[in-house]
Amino acid sequence: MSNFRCLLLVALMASVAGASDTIRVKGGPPMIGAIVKMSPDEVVVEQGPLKKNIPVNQIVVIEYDEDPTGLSVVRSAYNEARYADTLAALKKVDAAGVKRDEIIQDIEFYRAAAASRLALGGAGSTKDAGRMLVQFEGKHSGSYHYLEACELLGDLLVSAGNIDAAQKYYDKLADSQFPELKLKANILQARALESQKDYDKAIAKYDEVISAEASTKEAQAQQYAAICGKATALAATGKSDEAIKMVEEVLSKADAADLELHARAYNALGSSYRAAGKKKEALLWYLHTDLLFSGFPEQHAEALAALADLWADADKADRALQARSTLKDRYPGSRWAQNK
Amino acid sequence: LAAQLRQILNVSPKRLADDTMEFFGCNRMQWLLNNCRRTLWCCAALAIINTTQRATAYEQVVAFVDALCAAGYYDSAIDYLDTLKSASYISDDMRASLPYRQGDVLLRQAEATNDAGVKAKLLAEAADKIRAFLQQSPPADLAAAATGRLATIEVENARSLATVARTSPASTRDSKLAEAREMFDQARKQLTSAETQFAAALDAMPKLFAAGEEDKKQQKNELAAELAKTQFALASIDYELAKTYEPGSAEAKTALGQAAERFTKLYDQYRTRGAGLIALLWAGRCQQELGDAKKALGAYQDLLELPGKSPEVRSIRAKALRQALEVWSLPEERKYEEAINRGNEWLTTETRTASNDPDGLAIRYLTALATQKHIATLNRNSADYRRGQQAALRLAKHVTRYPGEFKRPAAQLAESLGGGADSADAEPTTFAAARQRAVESLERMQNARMGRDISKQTGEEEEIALYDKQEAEAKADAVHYFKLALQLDLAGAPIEDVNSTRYYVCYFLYEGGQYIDAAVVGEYLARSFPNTAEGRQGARLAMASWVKAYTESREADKSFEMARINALADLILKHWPDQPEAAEAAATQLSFAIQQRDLDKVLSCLEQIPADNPRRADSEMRAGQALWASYLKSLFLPDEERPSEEELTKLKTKAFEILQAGVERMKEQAEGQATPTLIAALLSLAQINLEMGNTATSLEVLEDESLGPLALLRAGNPVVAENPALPVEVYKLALRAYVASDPPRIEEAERVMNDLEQAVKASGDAQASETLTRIYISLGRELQQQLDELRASKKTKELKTVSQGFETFLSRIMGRSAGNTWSSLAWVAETFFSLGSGFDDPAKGPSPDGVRYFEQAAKAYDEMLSRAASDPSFAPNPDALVGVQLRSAMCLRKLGKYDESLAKIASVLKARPAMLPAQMMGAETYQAKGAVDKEAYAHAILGGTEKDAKNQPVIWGWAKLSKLTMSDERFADTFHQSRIKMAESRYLYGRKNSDKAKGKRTINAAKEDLWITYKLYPDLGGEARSQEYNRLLVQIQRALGEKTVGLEEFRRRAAAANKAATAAAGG
Repeated sequence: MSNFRCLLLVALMASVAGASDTIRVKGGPPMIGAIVKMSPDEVVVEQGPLKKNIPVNQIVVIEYDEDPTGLSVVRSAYNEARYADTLAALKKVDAAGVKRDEIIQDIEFYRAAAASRLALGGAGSTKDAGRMLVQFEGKHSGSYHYLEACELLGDLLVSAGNIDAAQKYYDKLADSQFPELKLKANILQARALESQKDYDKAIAKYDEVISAEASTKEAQAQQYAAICGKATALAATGKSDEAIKMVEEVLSKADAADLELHARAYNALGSSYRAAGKKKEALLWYLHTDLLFSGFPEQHAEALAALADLWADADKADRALQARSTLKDRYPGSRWAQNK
Repeated sequence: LAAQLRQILNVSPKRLADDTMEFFGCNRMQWLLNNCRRTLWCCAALAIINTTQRATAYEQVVAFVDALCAAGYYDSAIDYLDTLKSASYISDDMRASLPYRQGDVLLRQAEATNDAGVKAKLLAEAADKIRAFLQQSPPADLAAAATGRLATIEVENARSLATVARTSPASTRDSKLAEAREMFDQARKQLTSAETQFAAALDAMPKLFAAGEEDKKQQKNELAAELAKTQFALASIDYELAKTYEPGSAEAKTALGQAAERFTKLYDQYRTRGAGLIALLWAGRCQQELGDAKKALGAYQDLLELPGKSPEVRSIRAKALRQALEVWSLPEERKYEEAINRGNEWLTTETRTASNDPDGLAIRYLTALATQKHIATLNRNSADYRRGQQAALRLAKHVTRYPGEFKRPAAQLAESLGGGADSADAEPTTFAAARQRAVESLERMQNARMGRDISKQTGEEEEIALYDKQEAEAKADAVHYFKLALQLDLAGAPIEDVNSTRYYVCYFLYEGGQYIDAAVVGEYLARSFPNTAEGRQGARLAMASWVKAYTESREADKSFEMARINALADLILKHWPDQPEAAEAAATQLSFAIQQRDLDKVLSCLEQIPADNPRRADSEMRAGQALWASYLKSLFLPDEERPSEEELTKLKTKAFEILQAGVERMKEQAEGQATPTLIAALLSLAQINLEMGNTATSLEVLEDESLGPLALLRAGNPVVAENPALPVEVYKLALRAYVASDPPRIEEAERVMNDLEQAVKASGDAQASETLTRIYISLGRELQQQLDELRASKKTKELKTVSQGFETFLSRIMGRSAGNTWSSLAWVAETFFSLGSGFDDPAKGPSPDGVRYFEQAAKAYDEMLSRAASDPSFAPNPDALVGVQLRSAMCLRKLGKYDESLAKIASVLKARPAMLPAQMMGAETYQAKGAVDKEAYAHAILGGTEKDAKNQPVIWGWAKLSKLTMSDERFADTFHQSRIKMAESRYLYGRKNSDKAKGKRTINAAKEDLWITYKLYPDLGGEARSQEYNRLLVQIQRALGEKTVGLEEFRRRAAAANKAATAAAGG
C-alpha cells in the first residue's frame, strides 16, 4: 500500500471520529455536525463555524456519534413500523455505558413508543406502555420526540376511554408551531369524539380541519384524513351518499404514495356503503385495505373486522373465518378484535 | 456480459469522453422516448425521419431501434420496423434487412427477460425471423450478421440448458452439460463463419468516403461493430464452456485460459474502443478465476486509471473496481486497506444512483467485507475497531435494502457485525427484501418449469415429479413473499416495483381461485395507474376475475357482479380503446347484454369490436342470434304488446344482416377451410333462412359444394361427419328444407330420412331407437315453431307450402308397407300433431285443415298403440307407451272429444297417480271442456268425476296440484302454472255465469287467488310467469270494470299494507 493510501485511510477514519451526529431529513442529504440544542420544535446543529436550525417536522431520524452498537437497528425497525422488532433490538443495545442525554432519551422513547404502538394495535399492555410514555413525557420535555410522545399518550388514553385526559396531550400538538400538527390535533380529538359516538361534535371538529388553510403537502394530507373521518361519521348518522361522494373525491386527488390515506379512505368507503346496506360494495372497499394497504395496523384491523362480518353475510364462512383469525392473530388486543 | 457488450460496444473512448454531436441523434431519440406517450412514439419517430434527409435515414432507423430497445420497449421496436416495410424514405437494402432487425430485437428482448419460458419463445421467434431472412440471399455483410445472431441464439439456448443442468439430479446433470457443450461448439462454428464473412465484407469497403455517403460510412461502422461483437462472442463461448466443468478442473482451466487469450487479443485489437475495454475486463476476470491475481489486477488497474467522466467510462471503472476489490480481499492477497480506501473513495465520489446500481452495491458490500477482515486484525476494544465495525455495518445494512446478488451475503455480514435483526434466513422486514425473495422464488419456479418441460420430452418421470415439487414450493414462496411485501412499509419503494408486486399478487389470487380479491387488486391497478403496463394487465385480470366470480356465484341475483363487469368494461374501452383488451371487454359486455336482452347495448358493444378482431365474427353470430330470438319473442306476443310490423321487419332484417356478416367474416377467417365454428354458423344461417320462408336460400347454404354442411357431411368431411352433434342437426334441417320446398323434394327428403336413421344406428348408440324417436319428436316441434312463425308473420303462402309438403311426405311414410318403426311412426304422428297445432286457434279451436291433421295424428298414435298391443317388443319401453297414450288423448281433446280424452288420461293416472304431466293434462282438458260445459271449470279446479279406491278424484285438478307442489322448489314452475290456471278457470267460470252478481263474485275470487299468490311469492316465479299473471289480472280487472293496471295494483296494495304494519308496530 502506498503512503498516500495509508494517509487517506487514516484521514477517513479521523473524519468519522470528528463527524459527530447525523441528522437525516426528508428529501435531502443527511446533515452532519454536532447537535448543540434540542427542543420539541427544532434541533440546532453546529457545522464548524455555522449553526443550522432544523425544524423537527423535517427530521426523519438522528444518529448520534456515540451511539451504542445496535441502536441504528432499533431506529430503522421503528421507522419501518416493525415495533416488535424494535423492542427485540432494544434488548441487544448495551445502554449501561451510554452517557449522552440525547441517546438515553432516544432509547427510552423508542421503548415507550414501540410498546405504545403495539398496544394501540392490540398487542401488549396499554397500562405498561402508558406508564413508560408518561415517564418519558415528564423527564424529557425538551426531546425532539416530545410531540410524538404526546400524540401517542393521547391515543392511548382515547383507547382506554379517557377522552378528557387525552385532550390535554392533543392540545400540546395544537400549540406547536407546525400547521399540520395543529390540524392533526383536531383530527385526533374528532376521532376521540367519534369513538364515543358523539358524531355531531366529531363532524364539527373535522370541519375545522377541512376549512383551515393548508399550504403544505403535509397539511393537505391531514385535510384528506379529516374528510375520511368526517365521511365515516356522516355514514354513521345515515348520510352515506354524501359520505361516499366525499371520499371518492379524496381518492381522486390523493397522492398515490400516501398509502395510509388510501387505507383510511377505502375503509371510509367500506363503512359508508355498509351503513347504506350495500354489503357487497362495502366488502370490495374493505378488501382494498386488506389486500393493498395492510401495513397500517389500525386500518387493517378495522378492515378485517368488517370483512369477517361481510364475508359471513356473503355466505363465505371460510373467508369470514380467515379474516377473523388474521384479526385475532395479528391484532389480538385491538378494539376491532373485541367480540369477534 | 451481453448487456455490458451492448452498452458500450460501438463507442470509442474519445466519443465516450467528448459526448460529441454524433450522439445528438440518440439523445433526441431518448428525449422522444421519455417525453412522448408510448402509442405516439412510432408516429413521432416517423415524423422525424420523414423530415430528415434520406441519406441519414439508415442511421436514424438503427438509432431509434436501439433507443427503443434500450428503454425496454421491444414490442414498439417490432411495430416500428413493421411500419417501415411500406415506407418510401428508406433504402431497399434497409427494407430487405427488416426481418433480420426484427429478429435482432427479439433476441435483445430474450436477453433482457428472466422468464425462462418467455425467453425460449422469443429466441425461437428470433431464430425463425433470422432464418427466413437468410433464405432471401441477403448481402454478405448482413448474412454474416444474421449468422452471428443465430449463433448468439444457440449460445443463449446452451446457457439456459447449462443453468437447468446445474440444478438437475446427478443422474442427468452430466449428460445435459455435455449437450450444452455441444451446443456451444455448434455456436462457435457459426460465429467463426460469421467472423470470416465480416472480415471479408469489411475489407471490401472503401477506406474513405465522399460527402453524401453517410449511409455507407454508417454501414462500415456497423460492420466493424458486428465483427467485434462476433469476436467477443467467440471469446465468451470459452468462458461459458469453462462453467460447464467442475470449478478448478483441468478442462475448466483450459477453457478459461483460452478465453483469457481471446479477450486479451481482442483488447489488443480494439484498445481504443469500448469493446476492447470490456474485453480487458473479462480477460482480467478469466485470470482471476484462474488464480493469477497479479495479471488480473494488472488488467483492472489499467481500467481504473482510464481518464474521463462520461457515464460509460465510469461504468467500466466501477466494474473494474468491483473485480479488483474481490482480488484485494482474497486471503492470499490481504490488501484490505487498499480495498477499503479505494471502495470508500469511489463511494464518496459517485452519484447516489450509481452507488445503488448492481456494481455500486457490490462495491459497498465488498468494501464492508474488506473492512470486516481488516478490523479482525485490530484490538477489539480499540476505537478504530469500533468505528470500522460501525462503518462496515452501515455499508452492509445499506446493501440489504436493495434486491440483488449481494443482499443475502450482506445480511449475513451485518449479522456477524452485530447488526442483529436482518439475518439471511429470517423473514424479510422490508418491501425490497420481501419482493426480492418473491422474485427469486419466481425464477426458481420458472427454472423448475423449464426443467420439467425438458424432462417431459425425454419422459423422465422421476425428474418430472421432482420439478413439479420444486415448482409448487417455489410458487408457494412467491405468493407468500409478494403478499408479505405489500404488508410492509412501502414508503420510498419505487412505484414500478410496488405495482408489479400488486400485479403478481393479483395474478396469484386469480390463479388460486380468489376471484373477488383478484378483481379488487386488478381493478385498483387499472383505475389508479391506467398509463402503466400493470394497469392494463390488471384491468384484463380484473375482467377475467369478475367473469369467473359471476359464473361461480350461486346467488340468484347476480346483478352486482354484472354491474362490476360493465363498469370495468367501460373503463377498459375508455383507457385502451385500441388495444385487444377493449375488444375482449366489448365481447364480454355483449354476452351479458344478450343475457339481459338489452339489444341496444348488444349493438353498441358489437360496434366496439374492430372488424379485424378475431372475436368480431363470433360476436356477430351471437348478436345476430340474440336479435333473431328477440324477433321471434316479439312475434308471438299478444296483439296489444306486439311491436308494429315495421319494427318487427327492422329487427328481423338487422338480425339477418348481422348473422350474414358474421358468417362471411368466419368464412374469411377460416380461409376456405371447414371449421366446427364455421359449420355451426352456416347451419344457423340456413336455419334462419328456412324459418323466414327462404327455403331455397337455406338449401343453397346447406348444399354448397365447398362449405355446405350437408355437402360436407355426404362427402365424409371429418369436421362435420365426425362431430358428435352436427350430423343429426344437418339432416334434420335438410329434411325440413326439402319437404318445405316448393314443390316439395320428397325423394331427397326420404333419402335424408334414411341417412339420418343410418347415422343414428351407425353411431353405436345402445338406445338407437329411443334416440331416433327423440330426434323425430324434436323435429316435429321445430316444424311447429316454423309454422307458428310463418303464421305470425302472415306468410300464408309459405305456410301452406310447408304444411302440404309435410302432409304429402308423412302420408307417404305412413303408407309404406314395410320399414316403419316405432320411431318413424312417432315422428309421423308428432309431425301431424304439429301441423294440426299450426291450424289451431286457442280461442276458436282448430280449422278444418287442423282437424284433418289432428285426425291423422290420432290415427298414427292408434296405429302405434295397436302394434304395441300385438307385439310387446314394438315399443322401446313402457314409458314410451304411456307417452303415446297421452299424446293420443291430446289429439282427442283437440278434436273436441273431451270425455274420450279424459278417459284415456284417467286410465294412465290410475296406474301412475303422481305423474304430474298427466295430472296437468287432465286439469287442462277439463278446463278446455269448460268452453262447452261450464261445470267442467269446477272439475278443472277441484278434480274430476272419476274416483280412486279412496274416493278421491283420479284427476286432481289445479287446487290440489298447486297445494302439492307449493313447498318444493323443484316444482316451482308447476306450482305457478297451477295457480294461474286455477284463477283462470275461476274467472272463465264467472264469465259464464248468467247471474251477473254471482259471476262477479267468482271473478273477484279469481283475483283473490292471484293476490294470495302475490303475497306469498312476490317474484311470481320469474319474469315469464309474471307476465302471464299480469295478463290474466288485466283481463280480470277489465271484466270487473277496474283500471287495467295489472300487477301494479298488487304492488301498491302490498306497499300500503307494509306501511300500515310499520305504523302499527311504531304505535
